Amino acid sequence: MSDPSSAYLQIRSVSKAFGDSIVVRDFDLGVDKGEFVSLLGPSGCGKTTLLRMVSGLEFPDSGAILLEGKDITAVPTHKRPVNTVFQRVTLFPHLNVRENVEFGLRLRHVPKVEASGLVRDALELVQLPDFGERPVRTLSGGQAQRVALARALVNRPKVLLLDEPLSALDLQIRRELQVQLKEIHRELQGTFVYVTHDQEEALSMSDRVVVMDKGCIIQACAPEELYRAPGSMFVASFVGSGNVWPGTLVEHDGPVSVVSVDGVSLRGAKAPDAETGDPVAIVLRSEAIQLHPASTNGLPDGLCKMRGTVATVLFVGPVINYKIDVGGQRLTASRPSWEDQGGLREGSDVVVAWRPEDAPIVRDLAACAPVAPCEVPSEKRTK
Amino acid sequence: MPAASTAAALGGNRSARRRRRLTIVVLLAPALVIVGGALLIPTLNLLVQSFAQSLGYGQIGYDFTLSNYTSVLTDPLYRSLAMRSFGLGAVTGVACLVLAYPVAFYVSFRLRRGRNLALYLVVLSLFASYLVRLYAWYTVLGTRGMINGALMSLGIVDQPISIILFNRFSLFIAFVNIFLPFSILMLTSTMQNIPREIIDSAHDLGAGPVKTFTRVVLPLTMTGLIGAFAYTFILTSGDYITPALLGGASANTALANTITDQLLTQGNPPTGAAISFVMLVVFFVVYYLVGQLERFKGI
Amino acid sequence: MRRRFRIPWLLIITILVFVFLFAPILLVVLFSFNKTASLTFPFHGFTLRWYREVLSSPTFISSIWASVRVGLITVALTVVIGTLAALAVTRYSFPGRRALRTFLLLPAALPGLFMGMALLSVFSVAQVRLSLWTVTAGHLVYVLPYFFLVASTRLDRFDFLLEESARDLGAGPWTTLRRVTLPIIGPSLIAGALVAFSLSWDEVMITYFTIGNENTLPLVIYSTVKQSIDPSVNAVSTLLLLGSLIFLVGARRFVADLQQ
Repeated sequence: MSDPSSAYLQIRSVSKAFGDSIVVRDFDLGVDKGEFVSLLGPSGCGKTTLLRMVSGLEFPDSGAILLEGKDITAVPTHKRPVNTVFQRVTLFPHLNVRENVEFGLRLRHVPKVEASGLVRDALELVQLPDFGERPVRTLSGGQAQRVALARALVNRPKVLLLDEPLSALDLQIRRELQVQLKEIHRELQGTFVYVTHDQEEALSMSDRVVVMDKGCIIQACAPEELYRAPGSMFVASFVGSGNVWPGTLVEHDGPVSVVSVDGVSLRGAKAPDAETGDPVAIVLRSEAIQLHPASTNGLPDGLCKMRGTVATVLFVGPVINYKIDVGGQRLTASRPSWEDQGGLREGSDVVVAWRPEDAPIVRDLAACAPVAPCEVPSEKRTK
Repeated sequence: MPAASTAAALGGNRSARRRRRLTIVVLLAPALVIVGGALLIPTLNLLVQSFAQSLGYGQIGYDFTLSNYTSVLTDPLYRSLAMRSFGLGAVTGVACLVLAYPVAFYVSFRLRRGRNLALYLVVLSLFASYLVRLYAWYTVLGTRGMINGALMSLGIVDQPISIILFNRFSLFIAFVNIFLPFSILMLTSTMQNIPREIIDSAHDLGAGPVKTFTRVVLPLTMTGLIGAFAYTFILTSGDYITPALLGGASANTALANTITDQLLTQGNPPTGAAISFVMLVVFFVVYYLVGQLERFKGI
Repeated sequence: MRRRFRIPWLLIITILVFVFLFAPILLVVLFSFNKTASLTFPFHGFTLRWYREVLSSPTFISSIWASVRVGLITVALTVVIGTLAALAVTRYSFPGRRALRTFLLLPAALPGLFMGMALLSVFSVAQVRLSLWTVTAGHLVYVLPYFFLVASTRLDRFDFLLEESARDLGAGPWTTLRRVTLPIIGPSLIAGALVAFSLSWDEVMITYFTIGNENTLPLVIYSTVKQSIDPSVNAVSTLLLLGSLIFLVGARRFVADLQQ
């Protein structure tokens, strides 16, 4: 994880309150140059407020924001080398596309010839090369946000901030733009900070995801780690779909820990910082659950197994979701719909199984408790 | 170092807050000065004057007295005058509502393509000079005007009748003509605020056109009705020009004329001020009631 | 299904109401072209005689000029003051904001009698000489609430995120106002200004109280009518009407809906 004290963009102990409610609490984060970081959290967790403090539209009550080592905390917005793409379409309606994109350049008195070249390049980057003279109201939502992106990027900001820019768009357009955004990031090697409440979006685009709740960082690691080794019950519930079952830690048994859920002992991955008797939860990702017909014998020993009955079968398209009653709990398991389903249907008896190392055990941490460091060091992240 | 940065952050915060407050004050100051100065101060001045002594010929002696108010409130002449002015205002308000409602209903709910044009025409009639419309009625109703001319040429009367001018009926007609556009606009605005879905829901639940109207549309437009009535009532009761032109030359045609008479002709500002204040109180009571009713209706 | 012929009551009433609203004015306009001085039918023939009388009469000319001057100054001041106030009330939130908005609309809710009288008494106490300037002051108070309503309604619909975008792209506060906010709300402000001029042009009540020795156009009509039946008043009235309507038609070009 980047050391906040030497990173390209440093957010140091920043706090902000509106009236009586503390929205951002002692927030520490370092963003490396060229990194794509997402701030992920539920509504009201403070992610947008934090972003606005980086852009200068809000000022922190305490703490500091440094860019390339320089303190920009008190610098007004229009003087910061930072640009934002907002959630709503904020293209100026009285200017056409080209005039919108060159707005920042004109303000800095960039010569006309140079500016029009830069505008052309920016529009090409967002794949709208011939849109320059179009009036803004003729653009679709996706096109408008792409123009907004071009308008921000043409100024070569040191950090690009994006405040849920795709949340108002249709699903298909959103998916397309996520890919485009990722490609643009790779091409420009810019530093992007992205705010979203959609965990799929965050996981698919980011080098690192900062999960936030109630103004604090819960966990800030690579997407894979958040998914496979969540740091707390909150992260496990928020990221990825899965069954998060609260229980009590019984014992550690070698590479495995045992959790008691409603009297049933289940085996999951080793949880070194939990002690016997601690309240914990076992996380069973739907995709990690194996489903075997009840008559199966001879499953490998290491697997944790339970018997149950299929309650509901839901065809979702790429996967089939099974709701299974097992051991007094309701379990959701997913299977690729193109695989052989083994004749499972509603009412079937079934054996569910998982490898303990695929089932992390997490503690129920309070929202702003200290964060455990990431296991996957920055260099090893998949790009 | 965090300490210095915190100070910078705090400084940025505080100076931003101070600048913001200053900006608000600067932006609002001129408007407040004008409305406050031109409304509050003169009103206070009038209030003070209403408690002062009249020394004749426009002179005012600033000794506190209630005599102006007592004479105004107890004198039967003033009382009947008030009755007449407020009564006319109320009748005008009701008449405007009666005429405006069907028009507003038609324009809001039945008209689609012509709606903008119709509304534009109403706005046009609103701005088409108060005075000219007044004068128009003067010509229509006058002794040598249209109606008399028609009556005489048709042989119905030998001499021009003067009862249609210079009395409350002519005032009534003129007031309705002048304030009707405003009532129409207020009502259409209220009606257009009713989302189409609500009416569709009513139909869906089994209400026919009549029931939909009485149980859904009418209650929802109540605020518009009350507002339009209040506005018409107040502006009619306090009007000076129309009674002066169409009501006859007497100073006792309407409250407004009496006030002006006291102020400018009789040289008795305190009495004029006292009458105005009684009027003002009535108006504020009406507006207050309207405000309360709106809250009661929950709209 | 056979369609019954239903009497379109609402349509009939609506048409009658519109006739009622417009007929008197149209009659005045019509009779301003009448050959004889009568105000009755039959119509005797077209003439521009009354217009020629009006336009060559110094009283009328000077009153038109006075109305224009008062109107222009009133509107200039109103636009500046009203826009600033509307910006304050829509862009920032502070305690008492709603009360303030209501307060600024107050002069429109009271009969002109009060303002005229109140202003007159203040002017007499402060020993200010009555002139077109005092009239302008009165018009300013009268017109400001209407303009403020138009401006603040438009600004209510203005997305302030646009201003933040401009700042984000490097525009300081002044530049933002100049290059983003004003161009976008400009048409509404122009419409409001035209409406304001139309209101001032037509105003007679407050003017009556606050004017000195001069006359504005509506006042000329008023005093002439009180004294005699002068057929040229028809022509003057038509001119007055024309003035009001020109501005209103002009305003329409700038705004999609003038509804409050």
